[in-house]
Amino acid sequence: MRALLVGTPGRTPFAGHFRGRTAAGGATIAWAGRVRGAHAPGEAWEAAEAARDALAGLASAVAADRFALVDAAWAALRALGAADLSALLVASDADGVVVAACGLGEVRADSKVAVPAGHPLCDEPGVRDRPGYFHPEEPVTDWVGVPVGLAWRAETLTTLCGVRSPR
Amino acid sequence: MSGDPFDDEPTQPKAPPASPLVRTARDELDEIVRSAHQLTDPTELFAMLATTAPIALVEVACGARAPGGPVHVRAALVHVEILERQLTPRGCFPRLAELAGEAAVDVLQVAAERHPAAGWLVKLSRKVEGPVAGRLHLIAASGRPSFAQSCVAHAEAGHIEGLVAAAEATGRPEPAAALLPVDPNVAARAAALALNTDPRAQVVAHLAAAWSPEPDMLVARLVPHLRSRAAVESLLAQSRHLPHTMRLLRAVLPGLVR
Repeated sequence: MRALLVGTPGRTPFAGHFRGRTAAGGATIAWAGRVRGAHAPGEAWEAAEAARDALAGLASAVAADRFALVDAAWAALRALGAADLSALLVASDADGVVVAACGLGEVRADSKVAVPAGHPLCDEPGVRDRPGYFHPEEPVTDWVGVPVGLAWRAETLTTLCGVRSPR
Repeated sequence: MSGDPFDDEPTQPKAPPASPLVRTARDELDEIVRSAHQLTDPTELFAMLATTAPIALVEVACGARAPGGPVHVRAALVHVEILERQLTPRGCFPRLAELAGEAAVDVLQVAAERHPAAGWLVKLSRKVEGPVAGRLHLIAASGRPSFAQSCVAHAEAGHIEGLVAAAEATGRPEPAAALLPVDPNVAARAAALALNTDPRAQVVAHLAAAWSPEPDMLVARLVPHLRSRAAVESLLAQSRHLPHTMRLLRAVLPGLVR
């Protein structure tokens, strides 16, 4: 299970992007986000590093389940106070999967629309007080968030989200 | 043709022949061109024409009958503002480079300094610099707002070694980022060379923005090209969340003298 975010077409599509995953307790969480994406690469990188720092603490979180892990990640991102943040959080445990998001216009599950524009999960950038949850019914490998203002493009995940082979 | 009885085209009225005592502007220009051809150093002539007859200057400096050669072109570059006004930069610099011989590099240098954002510099760079095309232009454009876009234009033109040379000369990360679509290994080498020149270069930020939110494996490829402790320490500081790169850097750090 991966969380990915669509990049902005242009010279620096992944400016301010951060992505990762971790496990805590019996749950796993994957995230993909973008902050200060419209800024110069150096500034965007610093903001993304702050998000990575904030989420690094999740590994040691006492997370009882997927909801606790999403809530912990949400709180960590909220503490950044980034008004332009777009993020996708996907957590799973033995009982299922939960998705939370901010600043997204659409969420795709293995390239099919899972959360369309207009769904309560889709809203403006920035982290509100509490996350809304989306509960998928089918197992999904790649969750892809499309930030507000961007459109889904029928391209490879390499071009679209910067997914590269390990070597 | 005008004497041909089968020619029904109306004949153009002929200008009366000029009196041998009346010198036309054309005659004067011809004479200027002739004397320019005889001069080994046209500095004074060009200076005089620049103030009295700028159109004549254009003719002898880069017109169809211009003598050309390194000395003439270097003398013309002193008055490049006048030449640009008459011909446009896009017309003036490629013509000067064509005439310049070994001074073509000087022409490119002046062109790049005066018009760092110009797209035609890419083609001119290839003609003048050959295998290191882009180097001079990018060094001149470094620090200008158009720099990153110029790097992309040279990358798209295949000016790989020029971009690598520019990365090393400027210590800027943009050439490396522009090289990513061409060859990630070369991009990594360029980024390392930039870091060797200027350890403050934000190479990871630029590579990640262009390549992937997870650039660890790419950034690790810089390590074998790093040549100083300052460069290694800088990359270490930029790679806090890149575990593979950090492991490699920590392994090479003890072997580097400060």
